[in-house]
Amino acid sequence: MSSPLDQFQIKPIVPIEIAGLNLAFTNSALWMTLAAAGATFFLVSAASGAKIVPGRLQSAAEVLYEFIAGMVRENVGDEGKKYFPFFFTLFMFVLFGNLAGLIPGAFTFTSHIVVTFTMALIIFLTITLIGFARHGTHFFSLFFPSGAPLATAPILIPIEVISYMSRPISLSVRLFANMTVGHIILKIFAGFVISLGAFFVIPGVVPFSVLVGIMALEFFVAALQAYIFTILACIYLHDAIHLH
Amino acid sequence: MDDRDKRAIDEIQAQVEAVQSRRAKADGKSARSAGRSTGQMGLGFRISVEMLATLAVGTGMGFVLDRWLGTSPWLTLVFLMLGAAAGMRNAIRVATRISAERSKTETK
Repeated sequence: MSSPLDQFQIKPIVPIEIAGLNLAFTNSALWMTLAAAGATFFLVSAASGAKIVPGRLQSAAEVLYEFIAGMVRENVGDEGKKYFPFFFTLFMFVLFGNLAGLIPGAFTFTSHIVVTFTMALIIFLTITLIGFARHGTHFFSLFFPSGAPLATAPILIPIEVISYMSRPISLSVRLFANMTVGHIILKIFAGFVISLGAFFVIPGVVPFSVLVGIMALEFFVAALQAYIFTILACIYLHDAIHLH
Repeated sequence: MDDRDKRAIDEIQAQVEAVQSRRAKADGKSARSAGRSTGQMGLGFRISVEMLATLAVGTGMGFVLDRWLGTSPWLTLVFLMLGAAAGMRNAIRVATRISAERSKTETK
């Protein structure tokens, strides 16, 4: 039986090599493309026949739109409105990536720290740049809480800088760890179903029923982690705009 | 529209309202229990990730500075401490934010 970690293997589909760099189109890239295309197709087809009384597809799209719009309004404030497209894209991409990963045989690109860390790094750098653009050098006051005595600066400033720098790591590790652990558990229980079911048929039913439950839980986790990833990005942007 | 039609519409309206109020109640209940059961584990995980990430970043920064300035191992040790302190601070910050959110939704 194959190892539960086999599902995370990157396999090149179209090998491309440019100037000694391996730029192959992999299964990870394929599923990223599918997630982006799926999200685009879903939203475009929901919006194309828009009616005042929405159909099923349009309601689903509207619920997602209003959910993220409300999240940005509550966590960033009115200034956050112009960043809404960014957060909505982010949420849809992560959500579709997580959900597509639950299709049997699919590849979950959010279960790779490279992918989640790159996304977190883009968020982190963008938000830092927005902070500098809005506040200039005043942005550095984020690293020193107002009202603290000046003598504590040598300790407080490094602490605040470290905790600021840790944001992309905690953001990416959370998504990556949740997706990886969930998929490993699924695979292990699936292995139990086969090994016990091959023995006698009846004992295989027990891990199978657990598997069904975990599968449902994984759908919930997929949506929840997309939500947490986006809401934390919102909170970070709030900090950069309002500086405490 | 005659009288019978009107009565039928009223009846349907009452049914729709009954279903809506029942659903709202069920939604509130399930949302609360789901928030609690996954909330506890998610909360623990969230805070521990926060602490570990800050500790790792602090130690990493110290290590890089040590190699650059040739002061090994002193800056690594200092930044390990600072990283631990920053981890604590982050954990406390997340916990206060979550408890503020909880008390806000509970009073609602």
